[in-house]
Amino acid sequence: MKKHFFVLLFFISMTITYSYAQINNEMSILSLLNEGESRYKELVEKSKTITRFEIDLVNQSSNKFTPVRLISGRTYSVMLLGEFNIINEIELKIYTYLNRSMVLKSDVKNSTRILETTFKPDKDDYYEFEIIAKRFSAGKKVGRYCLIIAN
Amino acid sequence: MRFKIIVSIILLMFLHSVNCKSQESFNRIFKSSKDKIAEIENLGYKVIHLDLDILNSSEKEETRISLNTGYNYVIAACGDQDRIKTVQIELYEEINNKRTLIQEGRDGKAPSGSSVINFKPEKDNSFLIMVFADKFSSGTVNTGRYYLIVASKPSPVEIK
Repeated sequence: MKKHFFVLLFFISMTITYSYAQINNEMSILSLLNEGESRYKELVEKSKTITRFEIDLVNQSSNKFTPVRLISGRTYSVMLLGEFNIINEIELKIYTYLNRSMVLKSDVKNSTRILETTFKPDKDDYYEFEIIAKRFSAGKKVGRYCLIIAN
Repeated sequence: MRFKIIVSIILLMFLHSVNCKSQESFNRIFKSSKDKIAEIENLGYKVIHLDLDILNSSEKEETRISLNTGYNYVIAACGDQDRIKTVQIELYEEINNKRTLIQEGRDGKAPSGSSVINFKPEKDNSFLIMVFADKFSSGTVNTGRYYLIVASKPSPVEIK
């Protein structure tokens, strides 16, 4: 009887420890950072140089806009990752400014949480990157994304 | 013809070395930011924003961020040790397109340190973080990479 009790106690404590670790992992930026690291190294292997690396939050109700300065004549590789188990579908729009209004230059959608594209700016300027998390996992409304830009 | 080939090869080698140096610089700042994130998360904060970008002497890099009341925020920035000696942070509140300076972080010195701001907003609002390089290392061009980290305690409830 005593032996059974200790076995049961052991399993309960293991379950609590595992659940705690899961919650902690979900909240930490490190898993997405590690994924971003292996992705940027893939780009470096293709002789690309990383110009920008960003991780931020995006939520269901509002898209995230981030300004990025780009140089004309270069072809930029752009990679966007949604947080694993939280964001399931992601979209990226790139705008330029014309007479103070935003003009859409590129719109890339993917039915998964990862997308990869290239962009060739026609002038040296700030471009507005809009990150849209189109589908979240059940019960989630906020998640992180990782944006990697290389040339 | 032979001259052109030699010049092209030299140019390609030069460009390759510039690219390699730039990538080494990115790798250094990435590692440095990862160490800082681990340090911040060990203090019970959760990182909500990370930026790895390039600073030059003439520009301040702007990051707009929404911060909420009830949370303690830490904002940390640091430059690549081989390029930037000190980095400064300024935190502005934006109300009706008017910017008000709230706090500054000016202590950061490479390689081990970073400029840090600890902040607890009194109301939910949009804030502007400006990062700029105070001093560049001598003998380098006036550009260098930096990281900006924003972390909150407790972390935003929705992430749990």
